[in-house]
Amino acid sequence: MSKQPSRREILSVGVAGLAAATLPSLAQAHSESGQVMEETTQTFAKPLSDEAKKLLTESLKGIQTSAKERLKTRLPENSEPCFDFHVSLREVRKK
Amino acid sequence: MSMGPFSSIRQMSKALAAKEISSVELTQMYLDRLKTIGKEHNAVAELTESLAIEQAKKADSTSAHSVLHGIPFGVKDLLATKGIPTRWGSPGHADQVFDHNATVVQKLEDAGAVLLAKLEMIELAGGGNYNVANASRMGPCHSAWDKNLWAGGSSSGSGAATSLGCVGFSIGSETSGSIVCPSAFNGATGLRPTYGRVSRFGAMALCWTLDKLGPICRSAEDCGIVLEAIAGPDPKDGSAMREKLRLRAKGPKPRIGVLKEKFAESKAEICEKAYHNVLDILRKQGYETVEVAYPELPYNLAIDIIVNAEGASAHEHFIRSDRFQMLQDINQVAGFAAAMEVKAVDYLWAMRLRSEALKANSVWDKCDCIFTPSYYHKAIPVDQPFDKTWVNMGGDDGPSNLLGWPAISFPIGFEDAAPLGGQVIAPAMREDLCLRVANDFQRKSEFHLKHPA
Repeated sequence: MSKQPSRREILSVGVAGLAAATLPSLAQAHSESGQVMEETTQTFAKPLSDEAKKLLTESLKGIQTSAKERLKTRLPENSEPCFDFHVSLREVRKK
Repeated sequence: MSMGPFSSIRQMSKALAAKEISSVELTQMYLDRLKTIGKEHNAVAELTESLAIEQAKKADSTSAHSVLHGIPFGVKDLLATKGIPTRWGSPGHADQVFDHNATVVQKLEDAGAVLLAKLEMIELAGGGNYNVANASRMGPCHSAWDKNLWAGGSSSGSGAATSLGCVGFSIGSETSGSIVCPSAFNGATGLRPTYGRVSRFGAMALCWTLDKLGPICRSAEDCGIVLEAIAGPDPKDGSAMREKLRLRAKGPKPRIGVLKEKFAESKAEICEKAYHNVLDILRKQGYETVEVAYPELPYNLAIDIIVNAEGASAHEHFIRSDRFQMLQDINQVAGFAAAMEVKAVDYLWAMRLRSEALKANSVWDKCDCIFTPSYYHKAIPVDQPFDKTWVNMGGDDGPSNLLGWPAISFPIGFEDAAPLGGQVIAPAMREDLCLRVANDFQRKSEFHLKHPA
């Protein structure tokens, strides 16, 4: 599991200690995000530019943050998404 | 008779009916302005001059069956127009031409209106989280009031061209903010209808469950006229509702809800004064106000997840294509690519939250509509990244877009000679309330009658 250093961690262990404590996890996080990025872009027609890759790493973090953030709002069990599926007797042919 | 470029639809219609001016003359006046002022502001994606002249001549030679007969207009370049490029603001779609008209375009043509131009927009309606005004094929669109400021997005050209008097009215679209923002930043009056009120057939999809099309005009009255022409069911769009549009609301004045605003924290003293001025003007006309609050839910988080997931799906083919990196703003490349990684459970959570958010309809137990600033400040600079300048802007962070409620944004004052906007939000299918309040305000104020030099 990747882990970002918190401000509390920075204050408690100091810069040198922090480096020793977090380098392995940062490296792991970097490797994980690199893997996700590779998987995301492998079906693209052209490889992304270096600048786009850098921004994509940030954007992927944003997607992950949203996914974590949403866990703070627990929805009622058995609630349904707000879309309906409508059955029809037969496929409507397009003219 | 000479007709000014800022005339209302009804003024133009009367002058046309009385043959004081011809549709060809009106059309030529607006084409000239689009070619000069419009282009200087990067508001024009494509002029449709020969079609416009042809439609205007036809309007002049036939009898009017609609208030819009002979009235020149422009549409956001995400609406399909038969045989005319529809580029969605994107360099990667520069050669895209459809063989059909969007339903909205067809309805306006059927009403006798004259299509002047496709108006510039943020590429792909900004679904990849754009960070610069330059995220557009024609370059950054400048505010009608100050070329150092941004025209807002993503219906940038629609907002700017309308306020610059380059069109009689325009059509924009909103997924989350794209009608309200350019209306506020340009001092226009823009109506975001209820989700499903206007057919989306032929419009670029960014987000099927949030996209709305609506008019951007120079007054609430004009918005009502255009909405009546474009609303209604459409067999080509299953989300288009059958409920009849009723705009002539009578009865007691609607009760206006006011939210707890953050003027002090946002350093928005000028907006605060403008806001209270609106409420004072409305109270003098018999409106009552009451404090209201939405249930606390992460509305915007749900919108972000939904836009990411649906936007990535809607544009998946393009994202995987060799044209993808032609997008003007590299932040959009990163944003759309990252959106491909939104998980199904996250999207379904957002859609379930949307069901939960329906409880926000309880706000209508206390009031009939809500008035709130569109933003706390004027338009941001056109030449700087938004993450540096979009500070203390506020804006609607409630459920209105998530639940498909209508809203109208209209000018309520000025900050450093640039317009400020306020908006009236109403329950689903109650555009009549938005229009009634905005109309009553505009009858007693002159902000919507002020135009850029």
